Amino acid sequence: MIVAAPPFPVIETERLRLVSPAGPDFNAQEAFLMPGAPQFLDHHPDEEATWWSIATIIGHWHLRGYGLFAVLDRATGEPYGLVGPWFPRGWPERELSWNLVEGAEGQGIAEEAARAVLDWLFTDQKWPSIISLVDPSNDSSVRLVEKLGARAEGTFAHEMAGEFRIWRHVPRTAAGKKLLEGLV
Amino acid sequence: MSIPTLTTDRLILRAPEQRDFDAFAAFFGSDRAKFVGGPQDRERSWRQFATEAGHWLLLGYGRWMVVDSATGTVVGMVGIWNPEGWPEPEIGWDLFDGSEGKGYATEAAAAARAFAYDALGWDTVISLIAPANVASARVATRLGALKDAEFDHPRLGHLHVYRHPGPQDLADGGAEAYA
Repeated sequence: MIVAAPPFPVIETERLRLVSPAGPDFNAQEAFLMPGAPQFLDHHPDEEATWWSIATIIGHWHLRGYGLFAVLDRATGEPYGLVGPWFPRGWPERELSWNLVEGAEGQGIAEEAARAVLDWLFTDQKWPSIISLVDPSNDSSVRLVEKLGARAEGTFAHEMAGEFRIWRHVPRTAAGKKLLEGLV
Repeated sequence: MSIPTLTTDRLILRAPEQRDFDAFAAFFGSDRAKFVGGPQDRERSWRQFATEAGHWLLLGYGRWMVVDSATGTVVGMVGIWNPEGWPEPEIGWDLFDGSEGKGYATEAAAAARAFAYDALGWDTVISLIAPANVASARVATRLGALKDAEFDHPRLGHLHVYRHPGPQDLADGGAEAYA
């Protein structure tokens, strides 16, 4: 007997290709673990901790049926980072998270990926809303979450990760506007 | 990848799913987990549970939920574990509270070992056991494994390395010779 695998969407935008690192379109071992593998996460000096993070990110898809997408350049396959819904135990609710590797910032990549993921969540997955947890001192993330049209609505303090502002995205923020306009 | 299901006389070994989390977290939150990195809170246990699933998708093998086929109860987690920092792949077993003393660990570990040899084509496999974990050492011995080295892990401490009989040994004597 084979356990049915959850569906692994592929999302494409003008410049980007977003794939599930747990899905059949992605060789996770090659992408994350081989020597000289492209970096989706900023390099951590502790290889064991890095391995556990990667396994957790992939296993999140298996357990929840959704998770962080690997963000790739649509033309070249160059890795830019991880963007997607993230909901480990201990989180207040499902979070849209983004983390670009060094060198990928300042080109609107996180925004393009986040908009595409929001669109997918609101129109295909029919999620009513999702939050982002943003460190108030992280200027570029604050700028992005504002640009995405999310509303600040309180704070969340995590024992290890620190204190975050909670921002809520609702369908009007993405092309999920279409939903409200009755186009979908 | 799809995680295979194995069946033994009394047990089903299947993919870990979100619905198994409470049993997993109860074990890792209890004193029974003291030899395998616990006890720990549910938040850490969830990340570890996700890692168990991610291990399968990264390496093509991992640990199964072990279910009593008569009752449907999840009795533990057994399988092949080889994260970064491990000396080599090991057969590991964690029996949840109330499921010990019935030979479940031995039965499930023998199935996992057969998977390693027959499905993955490996020649050897170990088990890492904390020196004070007498019950686990007994399972290893029952499986025919012999202590042949020691290993120090930064988080888990000093561990004994038990090496299992290889596929050739099992073919000669039959798996039953060790049961």
